[in-house]
Amino acid sequence: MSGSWPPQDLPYLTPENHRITSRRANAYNCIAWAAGETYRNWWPGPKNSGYWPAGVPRSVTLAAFMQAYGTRGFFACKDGSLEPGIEKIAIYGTGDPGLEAPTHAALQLASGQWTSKLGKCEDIVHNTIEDVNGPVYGRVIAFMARARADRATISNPR
Amino acid sequence: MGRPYQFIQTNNFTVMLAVYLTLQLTDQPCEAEILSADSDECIQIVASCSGTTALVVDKDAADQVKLAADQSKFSKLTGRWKAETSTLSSITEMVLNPAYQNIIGMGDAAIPFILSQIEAEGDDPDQWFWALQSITGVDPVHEEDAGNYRAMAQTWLNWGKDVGYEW
Repeated sequence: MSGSWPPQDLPYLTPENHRITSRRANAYNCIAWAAGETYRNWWPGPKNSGYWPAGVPRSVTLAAFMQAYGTRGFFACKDGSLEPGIEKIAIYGTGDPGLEAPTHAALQLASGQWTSKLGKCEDIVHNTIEDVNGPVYGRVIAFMARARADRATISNPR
Repeated sequence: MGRPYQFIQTNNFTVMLAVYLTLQLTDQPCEAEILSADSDECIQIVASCSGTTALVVDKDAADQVKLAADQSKFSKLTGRWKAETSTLSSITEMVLNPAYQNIIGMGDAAIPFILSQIEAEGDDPDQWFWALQSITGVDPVHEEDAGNYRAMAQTWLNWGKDVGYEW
């Protein structure tokens, strides 16, 4: 099965390094997916355009994104290596070194593979963090980690 | 592109024929628009992609042509926007896309089309809310629903009905 994304946006994805795990959905984006939510889009746009944790600056900066994930128990870590009992996320960005704007986030599975929601397209499981590098998401600019719990994805709580 | 067709007539049929020929004879979008209103009764409409010109002496007809042109423009822009932003998670980049900005630039004319589009998208509405907010200057969405597109869509559809839009 091939995904609905334009191949040129994700030039390193091949049939061998990923599999599709959901249908297309506008209901949530990668930032929400990495935080464990599937009923809303996270983004620090103007008020009400997307969800953003209360008290976190609404700016598209790495600092704001790390602070946002911090509200869900994540803390900065040095790499994306697999560690028992630890759940990691990779934050991607584009731009000049040190000034990158966040574009994407992926979540590490207990297997060591990663899962990404590709914009409005499908969720995928991919083998490495580099598999979704490219002109849209750039590359990984930070890693965060928290204790791995039995993960429950939060669908609409209402 | 075929030779420009010149229509000088006074009835709806001729105007619609002009637009129809524009759409049939070219593979470019029909950009019919009212260019001038020489008097209350005489409105010039130009389908700009083919040079098709219709001189209309019927405001209702002119409105119909403009509505059809706006609908066509909205549909094409929507297709472009969705195609060009499908892998983006950034709402900021999504709404800065030129096609989306052109939809915002359509102003009030776009609102019924957006509301209709939201309704058609059913349980999985897209990010139309920024456009609605930009055009109308209002934001009926409750803070607790921010980012919840399904709830936001319902709020905007209710708003549209409340203020009298039909789609």
